[in-house]
Amino acid sequence: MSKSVLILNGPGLADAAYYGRLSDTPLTLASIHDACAALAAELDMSLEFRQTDDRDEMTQWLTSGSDACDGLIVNPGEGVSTTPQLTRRYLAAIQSAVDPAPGARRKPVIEVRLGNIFRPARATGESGYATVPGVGLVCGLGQFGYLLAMRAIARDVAR
Amino acid sequence: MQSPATLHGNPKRGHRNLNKRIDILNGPNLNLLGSREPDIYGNETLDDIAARCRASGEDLGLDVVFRQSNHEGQLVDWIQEAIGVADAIVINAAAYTHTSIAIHDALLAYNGLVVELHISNPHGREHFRHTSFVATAADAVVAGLGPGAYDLLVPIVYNVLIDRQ
Repeated sequence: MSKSVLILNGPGLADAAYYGRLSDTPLTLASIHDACAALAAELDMSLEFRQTDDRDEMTQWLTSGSDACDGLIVNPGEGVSTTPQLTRRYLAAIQSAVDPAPGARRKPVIEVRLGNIFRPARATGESGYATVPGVGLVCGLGQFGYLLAMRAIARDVAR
Repeated sequence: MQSPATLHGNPKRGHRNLNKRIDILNGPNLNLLGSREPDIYGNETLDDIAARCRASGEDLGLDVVFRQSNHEGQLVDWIQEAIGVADAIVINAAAYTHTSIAIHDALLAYNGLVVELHISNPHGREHFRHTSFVATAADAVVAGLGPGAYDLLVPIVYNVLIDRQ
């Protein structure tokens, strides 16, 4: 049966300058989308790929969007750790995606970051949200991180 | 087939058809995979995983060296041996992740691509697993994707290496 994957991209990720700071290779949200769409076709998966600069919309997508997919990939983008309140809302939204309503099937949720968020010299001032048990994390592999996450969902990742 | 050693010298000048080598290094207790806490780590043994990584590498003409040790110094030796020989290190340092400055320093001395790998996501587990001395010396981190992350990572690392040429 063909699987569906939802990829959510948060604030700042449509901005070309964002990628310029992270990668030597020309990378845009559109090129990442293209690479993901090509892999989805290869894996016989259906793909929905979204981006928003609106943090409220992002938390809304995280909370509700995962209902309609077999696996969720989220790049939180920039500025989510601006305030503790926003961070808490984000974490709660991710938590609700990992642990759906009682009886509903647990879904793989994977946080993807283009850069390595742990390396001080390369950090972009973002913090990780993969602190929620059950969330996977891929960072530092650029666009290939999205592809790895898609392949993991296609294979039914075990945690 | 070119020996991995001759690849060293000038990685930037490489061609697409050059053989690449990936060293996959595993730390303490990973030899017990398949029997130890299968809820967290799965039922597959490390040998199963090694076989899939090698098969995945063969498809790409990639030399995959897969190793495991329970000893910190052995892991440091293997990282040093990879300098100038392996194009990438994928390292699951297991519990040494959270304690070993020696592994951190060895990885900083290594000039190729470094990917930290964990089967579970340490950040979602006990507090003492939240600090990683590997992540701060790595290019990339993959965690919480299960045992399948190993062989899925082989072609991804290959793509990153090609992309960086």
